[in-house]
Amino acid sequence: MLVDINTCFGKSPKQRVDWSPETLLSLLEDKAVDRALTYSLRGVLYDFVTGNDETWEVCDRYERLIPVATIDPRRHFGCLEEVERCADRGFRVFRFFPDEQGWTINSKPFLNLCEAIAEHGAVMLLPAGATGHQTLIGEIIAPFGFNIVIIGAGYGVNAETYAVAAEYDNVFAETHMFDTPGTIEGLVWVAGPHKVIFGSNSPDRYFGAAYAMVQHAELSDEDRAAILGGNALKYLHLEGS
Amino acid sequence: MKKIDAHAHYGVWNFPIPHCGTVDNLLRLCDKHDVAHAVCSSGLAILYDMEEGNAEMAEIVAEHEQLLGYVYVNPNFIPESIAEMERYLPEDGFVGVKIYTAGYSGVPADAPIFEDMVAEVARYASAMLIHTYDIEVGRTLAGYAEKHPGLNFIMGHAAAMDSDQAAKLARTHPNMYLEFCSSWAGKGKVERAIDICGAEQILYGSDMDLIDPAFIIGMFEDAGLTEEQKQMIYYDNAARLFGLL
Repeated sequence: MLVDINTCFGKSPKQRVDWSPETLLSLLEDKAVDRALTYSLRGVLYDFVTGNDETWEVCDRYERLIPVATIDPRRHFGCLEEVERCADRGFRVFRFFPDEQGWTINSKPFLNLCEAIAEHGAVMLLPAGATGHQTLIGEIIAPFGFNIVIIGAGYGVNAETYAVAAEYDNVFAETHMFDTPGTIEGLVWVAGPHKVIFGSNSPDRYFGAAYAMVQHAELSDEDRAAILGGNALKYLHLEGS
Repeated sequence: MKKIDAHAHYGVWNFPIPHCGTVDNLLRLCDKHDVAHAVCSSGLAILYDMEEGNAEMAEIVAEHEQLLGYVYVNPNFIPESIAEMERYLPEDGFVGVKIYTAGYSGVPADAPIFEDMVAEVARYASAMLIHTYDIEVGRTLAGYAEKHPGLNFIMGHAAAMDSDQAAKLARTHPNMYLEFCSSWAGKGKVERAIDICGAEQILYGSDMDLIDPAFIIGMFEDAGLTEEQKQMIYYDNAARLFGLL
């Protein structure tokens, strides 16, 4: 089972891209990805309510896709209600974009959202961000109790990924920016194979770059299979979805 | 497919990279990814001491045929850099020069002393690897490339997210090359570059052992290249450029 927890679809105001759901699906088919978590960029860049609707509709249409909801806490009005609406609808994963939207994870509006999300036992995807950010995730967000996957930690902050994933039982790490030799093996040694979850950031990035890192990592077959799918199913509560 | 890695380093990086900074690790990665030659520059030379780093590099390339060297030059120390080129470039294992813009040396590419350094490099070498993090550096290099047609400029990281514009510079400057190693594996950048400037001016480079060759090879393998294009990018272009044919 190959699961990619980091994909999206939609448009970009900065460049002309062909990131339609159909393009994404074609890529996933080509790469033999069984399931992919995805979200609409509309929800990140413009309006999370209609963006989440679009995500749900697309994922409803295509069985391979699993919906990820997003909320921009800067709006205040309707944010907590959106948690309820999405949870009631069946979203099990929420993803946030503080860097793109210009807010911080220690801000009260976001912490209020965390509290609401914790009540639903959902999973949260958060960016690794700059130095210190993952530590904040561990210290401030992990105590809410839901599982958190850190997305896009590059080599400059991988030491922090190791430390946080090792210390907090409910913090995991996604792989698409793991590009140094031994990063994946190192995280497996330090925090355990269950803490590493494959993601590609398709269709923005080359799927093959992230995938080759897992394929070439010196891992047991069992650990590799867990990273490429088993961990996502288990820790993002995707079984049966 | 056999490869020449046009962008490798020997030295320690302060990131969690097991076995980093050892010859054994470089050779292990070369063997794992079918790299016939990796052209390395010294991290010690770049980050701290040019002369000590180049000397260390010279010892390594003399001992290991698989590893080739760039002589590192520093525009802050032009006479000393000239001495380094005179000392090492005649040696078999060295195939070019490596220089940094702004970051490590603190000298921007458009600074007069940088320009003076490039002019000196053009007297001694035929290939020079320069890190390009955006197109501004690329544009400055294009000016130097026009002034020094005998020197081939390898744009390390291919100007990162500005790689399309870097490819346009390569199209109009036959002595400018793109080398794509980067943590930013932006989908489509290789295909677009080939459309713009052709495969002849693209080199495979990994930035190992900071970046894993698997990551960059995965990117190229995902780019739908023909076997002929792969052969050029992975091996032939670099072999021609570094005189390894």
